[in-house]
Order: sequence, then C-alpha cells, then structure tokens
Amino acid sequence: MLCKLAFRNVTRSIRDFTVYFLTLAFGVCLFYVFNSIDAQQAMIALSDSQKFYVAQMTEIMAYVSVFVAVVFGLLVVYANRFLMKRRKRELGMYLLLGMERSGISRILIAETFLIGLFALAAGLTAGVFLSQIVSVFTARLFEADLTSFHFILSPEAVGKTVLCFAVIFAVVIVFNMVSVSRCRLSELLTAGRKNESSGVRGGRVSLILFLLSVLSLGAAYVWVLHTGLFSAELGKQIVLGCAGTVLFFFSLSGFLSALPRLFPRFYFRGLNCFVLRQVNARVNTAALSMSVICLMLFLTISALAGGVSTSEGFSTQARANNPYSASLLYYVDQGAKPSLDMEQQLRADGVPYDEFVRSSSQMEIHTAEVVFEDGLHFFLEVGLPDEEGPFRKQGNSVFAPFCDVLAESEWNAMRRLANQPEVSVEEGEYLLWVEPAVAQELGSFCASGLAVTVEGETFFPAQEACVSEPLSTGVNSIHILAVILPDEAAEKLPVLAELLNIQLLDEVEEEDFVEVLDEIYTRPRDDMEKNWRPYDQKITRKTVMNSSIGAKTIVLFLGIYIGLVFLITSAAVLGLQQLSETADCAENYRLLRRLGAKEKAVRRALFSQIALYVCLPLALALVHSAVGLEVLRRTFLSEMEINILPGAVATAGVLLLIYGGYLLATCFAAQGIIRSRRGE
Amino acid sequence: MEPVLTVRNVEKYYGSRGSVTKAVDDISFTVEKGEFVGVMGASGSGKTTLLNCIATIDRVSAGHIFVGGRDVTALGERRLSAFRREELGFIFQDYNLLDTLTAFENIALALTIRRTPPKEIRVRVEEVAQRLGVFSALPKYPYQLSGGEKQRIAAARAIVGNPSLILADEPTGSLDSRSARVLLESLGTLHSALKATILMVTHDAFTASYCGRILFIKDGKLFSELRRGEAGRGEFFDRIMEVVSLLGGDSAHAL
Repeated sequence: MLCKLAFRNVTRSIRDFTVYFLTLAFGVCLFYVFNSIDAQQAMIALSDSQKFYVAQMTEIMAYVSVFVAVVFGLLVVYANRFLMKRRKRELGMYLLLGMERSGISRILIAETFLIGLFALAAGLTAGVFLSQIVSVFTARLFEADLTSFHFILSPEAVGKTVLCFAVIFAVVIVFNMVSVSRCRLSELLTAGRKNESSGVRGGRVSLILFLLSVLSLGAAYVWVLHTGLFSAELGKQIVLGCAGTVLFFFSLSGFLSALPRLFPRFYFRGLNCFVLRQVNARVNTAALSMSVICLMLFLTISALAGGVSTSEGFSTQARANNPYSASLLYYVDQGAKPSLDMEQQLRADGVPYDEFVRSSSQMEIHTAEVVFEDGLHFFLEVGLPDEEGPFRKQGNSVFAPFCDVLAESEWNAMRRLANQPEVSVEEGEYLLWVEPAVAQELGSFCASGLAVTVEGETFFPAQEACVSEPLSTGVNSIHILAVILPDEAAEKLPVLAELLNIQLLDEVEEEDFVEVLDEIYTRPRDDMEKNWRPYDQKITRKTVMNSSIGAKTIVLFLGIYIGLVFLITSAAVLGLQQLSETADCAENYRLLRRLGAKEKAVRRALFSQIALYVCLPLALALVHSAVGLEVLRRTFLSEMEINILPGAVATAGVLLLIYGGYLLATCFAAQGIIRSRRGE
Repeated sequence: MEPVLTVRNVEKYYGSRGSVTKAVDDISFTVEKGEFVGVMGASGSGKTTLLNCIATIDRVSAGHIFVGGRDVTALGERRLSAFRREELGFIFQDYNLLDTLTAFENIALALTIRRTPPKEIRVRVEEVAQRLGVFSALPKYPYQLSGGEKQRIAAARAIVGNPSLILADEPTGSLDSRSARVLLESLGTLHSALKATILMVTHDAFTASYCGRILFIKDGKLFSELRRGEAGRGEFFDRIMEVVSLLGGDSAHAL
C-alpha cells in the first residue's frame, strides 16, 4: 500500500521531479564516464608511456571524484529539501488522516529509492554509451589507433557509481526522516501560505553599492591582468572579485527598482512591470545564492574553455619545442671518455644509418669559466646567482665556473637542420642562448651591450637579441644559458658532451629507429665492454609528444569533468529555486489570468522571468571568464601560444546544451505548476 | 435600454451521470446599466458558482449569459481573456493583490495588460485612487497597507479600466466592520458617480443593504428578489433580514 502510494506520487508529480531526476541522471552519467577511463583504454593501442599517463589520469580522476561526490551529495540534499518544502501540505494531510510518522518516513524512503533507482539506471545507461564515444575521443587525443571497437562496460566504475550514489541517497533519507520527525502538523498545513516579501533597499544605497561593485570588479580585473595568474596577490584579487560579485547582486535589486523612473514606457507595457517586480523580489532575497552561482559558472567556463585551449597549446608547443626527430647525447666528461664522431661510430656499429636518417648534425658542448661583466642585476631578476651554484656573484659581475660554450659553425649547422635562420658571430663577438622561460630577463644582457670574458678573453655581443630556440629534442643538454663563440675561441675549450641531432626520413617511423638502436646496443659484443653505447641519452620526438599528450589529456579531462559538475550543479540549483518560487507564486499567475491577461502573455511572462533570473548570473560570469581567459593567455604567453577560440566555441556549445536544457526543463515544469492551479 | 447582464436559464451541474448535483438550477435575471445588485444566499446555495460562471472562470452546463449583448458562453479561450480584460472588473474576498508590486503598480497592471499608453496610466490610476481615498497609499507595498486599504486598492484595480460590469465576491468578508463600511461607501460612490454596474455576492445583510436590488438564491434556484426603491438603508436592512430569516427557516414554509 505504501509502495503504491509512493509510486503514484512519483509518477503523478513527474513534472516536479524532472529537474531533480535530470540532475541525478547527469551526475551518475558523468561519474561513470570519468571513472571508467581506465577500462576504456582496452580498445586503444597505447604505448607504454601512454599507458603510464592513463594510469596517472585514472588516479587523479579518483581523487577528483571524491570531491565531485561531495558536491553532488550537497546538491542532492539541497534539491531534496526543495521538493520536501513543496510537499509539506501533502505530508501534513497524511498526518491529519492519522498516518504515523514512521509511515510517512517509509513513503519518503520508498520514493527516494524509486527515483534513485530510475536515475541510476538512466544515468548508467547514458554513461555506458557516452563512455564509448569518450574512448574514441581519447584515442584521437593520444593520436593512437582504435585496435578494435567493442562495447566496454566497466564493472568497477559501475560499482563505484552505485556505491557513491547509494551513500548520497542514504544521507537524503536520513535528512528526510529528521525533517519529518521534527515538523509540526500546523506548520505543515499552513506551509502553502506565502511569505510577505521584505523591503527593498533605497535607491541611493543601491547606487553606492553598485558603484562600489563596479569599482572593485574593475580593480580586480585590471590588477589580475597586470600581474598574471600566479602572483603572490592572487588571493587578494580573488577576494576583491568575489566581493565585487556579491555587491553587484545586492545592488541589482535597487537598480531594477529604479527602472520605472528611468524607462516608464517600457516598464508600463504589458506584463513587464509584473515580471521585473517578480525578479526584483527574488534577486533581493537570493543575492547571495546568485553570487555563488555566478562564481560557479565562472569556474565552469574557465575550466572548460581553459582546459580545451591549454590542451591545444600543449600540442603546438610540443611540436615547436622539439625541432628534431631524435637527439642523442654523449657525455665526454672533460676527457674522461674520448671525444668521438657519433655518426661514424653508429655506422661502424652496424646501424643502417642511411636507411633511416635524412640528415644529422653533431655539436660539441664545451665548458669554460665565464664572467658576465656588470651583469649582476640581470641575473638577480631571475633569482640568481646563488652561493655555490653554476652562477656566482663576483662584485657587480657574475662568475660561471662551468658555463656551456658552443662553437658558432656547429651551432649554425644545427639551425640549418631545423630550418632556422643562421646568425653569424665574428671574431671578438659572442651570442647568448638562454632558456625560453628566462629569455626576457637575461636576454636584455646582450641588448645592453655588456661584455663576457671567457678564460680571460673578452667578447662583445654580436647582436642585441639573444636566441632561445631549442637546441635538441627533449634532452636538457644545457642549463639556463650557453655562450656561442667563434670557432677558434670555442674549439680550444674542453668538451663536456657531444650532441647529435637527427632528422629522420619522412617514411621512417621513429619507433623503428629506436628499435634498431636498442637491438644493436643491447647485443653482447666482443670488441667492447657490455652495454657500451656511443650515446648516454636518446630521445625521440614521439616520446616527448606522448608525455605532452599525457599532460594535455589530463588537463583537458579534468577541465571537462570539473566544469560539467559545476555547470550541472549551478543549473540545477537555479532550476529548483525557480520551481519553488513559481510554486509559491502560482496564485499570482492565476490572478493575471483573471484580470484578463492572455494565456500566451502569461506564459511569456513566466518564461522571461525565469530566463532573466537564470541569465543574470551567467552574464556576469561571462564577463569574469573573458577576463580570466585573457589572464590565462597572458600568463602562458612566454611558454606557449594559447588560442582561446576553439575552447570558447566548445564551451558555448556545452553551455547552450546543458544550461539551456535546464532552462527549458525548468520552464516546462513551471508551466505545469501554474497550469495545475488553474481549475479552481 | 440594452441590459448590461442577462442571465438566461443558466444551469451548472457537478459530478458524473448517476449522481448529479445541481449547483445552479435554471436561474434567469437581468442587470441594467448603472445598477448595484447584490446576490445573497447561505453557504452552498450556489451564489459563488453563479458568479464564477458570469466571470467566465467556470463554464455553464446549460443556458446563456450575455454581457453587453455578447454571449460569453459561446466564446473561446482566447476571446475570453480579451472579454475579461475589457468588460469585467474583479474584487475578491482576499484582495488578491500582488505583493511584489506597489499599490500603484497593482492598479496599473489592469491597464498595462490591455496596452494602455504609459502616459495615460498615471493619470487614470491617480484619479481612481483619489476617488477611493487611497491616494496616499499608492507608493506602498501591500504588506504595508491595512485590510481596508488593500480592498480599496483592489476596487480601484477593478474600476480603473472602465469595465461594463464589476464583479465582487464577498468583498467585505475579510474586513472589520469599520473598514467594511468605508469600502461599501466607496463602492456606493463608484456606483452613483461613475454609473458603474456592480454585481456583488455576499451573505452579510449589512453589506447587502448598500445595494439597490437583491437576488436571493437558495439551493441553486432564484428564491426571491428585493428592490430598495426609495427606502432608506436602515429600512432596507430590516426587509433583507426578514427574507434572510425566511431563507434560513423551514424550506416547506418558505416556499
């Protein structure tokens, strides 16, 4: 009997439950998809290094999922509270009819169980199908092939999802039981009466608040644009931005109530005045929740657009930073091992060099004592020099006891290999190569025309600009900077290492080349000691790319996951608030009909009211995000070029789909609420 | 002269075949322009159902209702809202003011719904408020007003659009006697000064004594009719009480 009642309640008020149900199902679906990434790789041909990244991603997702579960838990409890509020009168009626509290609790448990079961089933089904699409997407991200497309179901992820949501529902049931046992009959029966609305703040106070909010938001924007994302002031900037957001929504009501004086023609047309007043009354009481939702939307948009854009950036950056197919590095250790011609040695050891290599070039990395005359303050800007390190303070100059030095002709040969323009260095001149990260600060050393002294010989800059194009693929052969000198000056210096950069033939796979090397140099040999190789490090572009793809995929998936969770949360909270408000105001809409407002006009009034309420936080969040993304772009400008556009387009699509979907579902349910009260 | 309201053989049934309740059972009457008519009857006599049928909130089961010569029982949903907008004004027992709007906006709403030019709105709202003595209450919100003020605002909203018929459902039901008197005197002014036609449902004899004519309804049928004529309000009140005591008495005796 109780089950029947519960079942009937759920099916009958299906409209009321739409938003709640939708949210649960979305949550379950997301949870499954992002927890089944581990299982999805079964049908993708991944290399070992890629597998490592997938494993890492799985681990990160597991941690994030705990956070997501907490967010969903709070959301479901909140949503449930709204539903309970709406049904107080019904519950009161059960009590009045003599049903015991335990009976009511049982009805509620049965209802929660039913909805939970449906939502789990729907969400998991959607999740399983969506995860197949995600696998294809993952395969594309890893630039890997789908081995064989087959349907994958991850029992582990299913178990995890069911467990997580079972716990959430258990919490909901406890909440419901507490609220049923606490409530008083008289309160339940009168719960339908609406509250009188509170007063509206005065126009002048609102105006001041509004100006304050615009000022603090503007200040926060300018400040963060100036300092970039990772400055020490970030905390203060966030506080300023949040304060501005909250003030904005608190002052909004006053601004809206000034509308009739500003635009009487618009205000007193049709139901405009009614709609604006409705919104105004709510904005007033809901300023805080609107601010929170606005900030959540901001996080969503930033996470989605930032994630997509940054991951694109990772790809292009990885390609640009690795101009050679492969790099081999051999440490000579200042004469501890003989200097050698690597290409010759490879050929001599039986590597079919010509079958693989289109062109290659070798460069010796020399080491010398170098003094950067009067260069102290340039080094200070990047946190150097230190006491014992490779760069030491010497009066107003910087002394580098083991500075890397390159010969001009060899360096230019490398440039040719990478299709980069050559730079000539004449006698008595030097060129400075610096890591991209510190290029701006240390680069101005050359620009100011300062001299360097290498082993007692002084050189002057060959040009104002320093160079910072990568010298090899992957290997970190040079620390912070290298001095490029004319050949005669460089060649007499001791050699630290040999670097061989290789461009493979187009039709050759990098893996095959690595395989050949591995085979030859792991074979036992008579003539040399075991494991001797003419290189100490070998790195191909593919390995580097894989690691960057790994980083890119993690960033992208995290962005999408967290973004979607926040998006659904804020959309659901807004939707539920709207529904409960509409239920409270159903009487008002009935009155509009009685006064002779057209059915269409009433419906439009309801729609524009909900749309306004939903779009206000979104509008401010969009402004926040525009600034946020620009900050992101500027912050990473020196390391990579981020193109915001694809991320922004993708985010707009997702917003439109999910946020818009919630808006429509809310309107649909709200229309149902005001229609059901009509027949009296 | 064409009557403002003609009710002809109206019936309203509730329930399905087998167990039919006749809430309104074959009632006919007319209301001339400028009349102030009261409808009296005990609870459950069908007076509110009758009003709802005239207000087009409820549909009749049989019969016709003409307002301004138009048969409202034949109008479609779309025409009905236009009809309500243009021809009718409502005053409810529980005021039904929108608590998010100021008193001024509540009155103005009746005009904005029919797309009156904004310039005209202010003039007309203030004029009506002046007439009903609630001018000073205009910038206030409903929760800042007394019950009597709220009901006069509601009356102002009903009259501001110059409807051909004002329908009032127990307008004094939620008011104390002093506020009720003020409201009824205001309605009287509207009636005499603006030649407004008012149909008011009430079960209170004191309230009814402000009317010019009273229809008594019992068990869904028109029971009797009382005209005030030249009589004073006190005298009319006594005559109403006589009928009311008849109404409340044994039905066999009454008929």
